[in-house]
Amino acid sequence: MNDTRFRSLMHEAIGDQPMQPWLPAAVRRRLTEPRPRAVPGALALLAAVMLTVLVVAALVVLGPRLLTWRSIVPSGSAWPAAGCPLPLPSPEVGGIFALIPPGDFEAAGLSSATALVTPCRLNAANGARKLTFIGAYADPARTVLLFSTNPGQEPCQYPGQYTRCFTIPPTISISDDQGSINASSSTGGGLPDEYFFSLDAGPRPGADGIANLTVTVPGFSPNGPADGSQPAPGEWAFSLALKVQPSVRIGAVPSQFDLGSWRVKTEVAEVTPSVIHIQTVITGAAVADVASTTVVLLDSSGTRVNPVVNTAAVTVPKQQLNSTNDKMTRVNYQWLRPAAGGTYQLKFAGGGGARTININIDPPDPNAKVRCLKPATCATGATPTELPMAPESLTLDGFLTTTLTSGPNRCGIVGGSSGTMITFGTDFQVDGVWYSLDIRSDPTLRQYSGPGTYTAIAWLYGPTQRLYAGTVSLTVTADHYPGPYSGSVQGTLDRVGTTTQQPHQSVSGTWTCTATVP
Amino acid sequence: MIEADAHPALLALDDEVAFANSIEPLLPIAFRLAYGMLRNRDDAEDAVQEAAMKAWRKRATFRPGAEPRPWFLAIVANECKMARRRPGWVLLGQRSPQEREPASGIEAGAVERLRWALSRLDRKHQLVLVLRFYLDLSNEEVGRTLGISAATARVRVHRAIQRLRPVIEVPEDLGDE
Repeated sequence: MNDTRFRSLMHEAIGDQPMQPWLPAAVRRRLTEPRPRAVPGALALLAAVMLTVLVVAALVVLGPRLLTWRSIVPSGSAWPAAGCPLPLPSPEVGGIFALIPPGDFEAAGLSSATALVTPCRLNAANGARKLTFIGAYADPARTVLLFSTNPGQEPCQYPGQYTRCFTIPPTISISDDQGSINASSSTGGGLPDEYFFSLDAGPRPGADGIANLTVTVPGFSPNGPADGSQPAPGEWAFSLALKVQPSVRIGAVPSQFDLGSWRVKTEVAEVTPSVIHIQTVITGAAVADVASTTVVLLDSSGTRVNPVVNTAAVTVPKQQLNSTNDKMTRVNYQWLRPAAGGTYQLKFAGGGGARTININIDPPDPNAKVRCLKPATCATGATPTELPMAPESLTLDGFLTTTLTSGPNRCGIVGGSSGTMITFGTDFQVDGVWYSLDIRSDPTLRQYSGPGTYTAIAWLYGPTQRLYAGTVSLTVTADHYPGPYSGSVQGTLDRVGTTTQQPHQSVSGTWTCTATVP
Repeated sequence: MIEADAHPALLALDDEVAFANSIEPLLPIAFRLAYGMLRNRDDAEDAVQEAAMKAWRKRATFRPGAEPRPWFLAIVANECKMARRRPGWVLLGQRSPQEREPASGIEAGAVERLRWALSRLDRKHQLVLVLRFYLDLSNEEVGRTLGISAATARVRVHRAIQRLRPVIEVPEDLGDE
């Protein structure tokens, strides 16, 4: 082999990517854009402290909502034509999951209502930033909009972050036939190119159950320039007719009751396809008196269910506050609809008193959830039948109790910002349902450096959501590329999903795998 | 291959606009270096933009009359090092979606093995191979970029090649002028 041949090999191994034509303009813009003036030291310190407080506060409030999820690219053909609603692709090609990545449902708390999401495709741009509205869902408790962006084609405007700094504007507003819907809201997502916007109130439908919504997204234009020349002014407003999914009232919650020195009036106690929703007005309590423990939901094992919405607010505009109504507080709690029905406990505490109410929650309507006929699309992003089969002897015990002797699996040694790790994953069916087990060594504890025993993180995925997660011991006995790799695993995972009541899932046994090349 | 005219003769340091103009011819090779190190287009674009900003801020370190290209590539290389510390993972030994099938005459297995071997190299040796064989720089210019002599650059190239040898056959004199 000579220099020329080795150069060719290097070019083949790395690949040749032409520079995007907009990059010089982006560099020029970055160099010439006005920069903020220097801030005096004390002021900068004060600003830093305030920023830290804000960030911590945001994490406390939004933390439970910003669920992380895996990157899953919808398979199938290219996007269909724009519109809303879009016709659903056939289940054989992934159904709605071919239009909306399954992780979006999980991130937005819609895992139990995937079939009730209306898929859309409407585009807008702000300079080179492109935003696509891909779906919507509404029930009496919440209105959820799903968006995706085109991160690879846009130089970002904000200092310090470029291509991937773009996110959806937090000031999206939604109105229906009766005007603007005022409620708290949140945005989230797990990856730079997929987002949800969730308004903590449902739209007001007409007699036909349909709400006519107008969504306004500041700073975008439906026909804005996409060449990065100038940001598009104005707003992107689009309309859609959206069915408001019905809820079921929770009759066990009294319309009003005393709680120590407080008086609780129930405004809403309902179960929607996506959440359990409790809204009350507490007389005798100021906003500051209401804590995160004022209303708590416990499952049948006594485990506290984390709320996705937990807000407390005065009942009148601040200008109208007086010594009487400042002791009236409206609290709004929402918990994701559990996949398993059963008896739950609603605990109220405050005002020197406590009250526990048993409520029965039905399992979700199975028709509200898309039955995934192409499980890999829904769970792992790779078709199990396309992955190589390899011998394994893995014993599962707990939620799933079975022994896997052979499976379509995947593995690889992965390098990233924290170093190198080894990954192993296998897909398998139990009672006709596809599951996926993913294991990754933890490079923060030990860099992967060849055969040996590593502490690893493992996840068990169901058809549409992550079910269990935990730390396992992963032993690698062979890792010669391209394989077979081999090793063993031992550990217990804890429940993280809402599908099952089983608290643990153990995994043990041996595996082999051939490194997969997509 | 890099265009022969991708060398600005001078680096204008008077103001941001002049600096942007004079640095523009370097952006294609800067992007190639970033892509060669990061193997991700988005990350490479970010790294080039950030490197341009840092180059402007560090313009006082540029020696008048010196070649701008090694100076700027050194900043890009350093930015790639920082970028690799940010969250995000790439699969080693596997092709990114942009990578195509090998050109005729090149064994696919050799490409895979080299890709795998590159991914396991430490950054210092990966960088020297990218500069020498992906950007096709001479040992002298590799040295100027890394702040070392041409002879030291040549030794470093050899050491990097040696580290590939368990996986891919390469001759001893590869990389000599």
